[in-house]
Amino acid sequence: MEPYADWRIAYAKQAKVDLQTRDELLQHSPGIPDCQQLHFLQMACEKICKAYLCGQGTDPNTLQSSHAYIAGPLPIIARQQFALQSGHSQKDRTWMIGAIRKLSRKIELLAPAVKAGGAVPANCEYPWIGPDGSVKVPAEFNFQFDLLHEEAGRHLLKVLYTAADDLMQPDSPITR
Amino acid sequence: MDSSKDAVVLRLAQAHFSVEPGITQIVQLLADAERESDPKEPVKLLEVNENTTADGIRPVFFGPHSASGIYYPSVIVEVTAEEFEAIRHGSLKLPNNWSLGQELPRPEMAAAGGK
Repeated sequence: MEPYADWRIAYAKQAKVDLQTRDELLQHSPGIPDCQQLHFLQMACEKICKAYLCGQGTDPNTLQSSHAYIAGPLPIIARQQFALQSGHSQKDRTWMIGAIRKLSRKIELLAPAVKAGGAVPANCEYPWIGPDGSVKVPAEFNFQFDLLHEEAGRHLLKVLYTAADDLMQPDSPITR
Repeated sequence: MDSSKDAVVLRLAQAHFSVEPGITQIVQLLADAERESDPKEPVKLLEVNENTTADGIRPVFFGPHSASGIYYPSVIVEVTAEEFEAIRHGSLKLPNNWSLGQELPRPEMAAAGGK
């Protein structure tokens, strides 16, 4: 097995648990602040993207150290899935790629280390200083971000689950 | 279905052109000849996309998908037009000693016989 194959599978396994935990929170803990389920969404996206970035010439340790790995790879992962699916007109999918690109950037910005040059300090984990100078708490903040109602939000969830499952296939030739 | 690497790389490029209008150019990336002759060596596409951001070279690795005629692993690198120019001029380096290969046509151009 190639050295990076174990990393791909490991990232995928953990990403799937993150997704399942998000689902559990939404289904069984309706009063929990949005930042919690968004945190699991951000972590799942980051791990799935990192799994697909593991390959020839990639240093897994380098991947470990950054959170800014969602906005670029995630639309590519979605596009590859759509491009290889049969039974749909590809033109029906073109709007989804654009919508998923926007969502991917929005999700990437949920990580505290990704601030868009200071323009977007809001994040799911740590307090920050708001524009009015007051300290903001993620648990009390309205992120105005509900995947269920975002354009292509449900498509993105399907992409994430499919990606995690594909990566974990024991006979997947990319993980040999 | 033609299972040669040339056929697969064209099939994958055209599938990507069909699903994302923001792609302006797709160029095949090549490893050295010995590696390219290995069926485990991925087909590699460099995609110039007007909707992407300049994040540098980040190859994304995929497995084969025989049901769709993609019989080899694949690698996608997405760049801006400016990054593509930098690659062409050598100021932005491709990893793994990859080099630029042929430009791949859009589906309508391929149907008309163009490359």
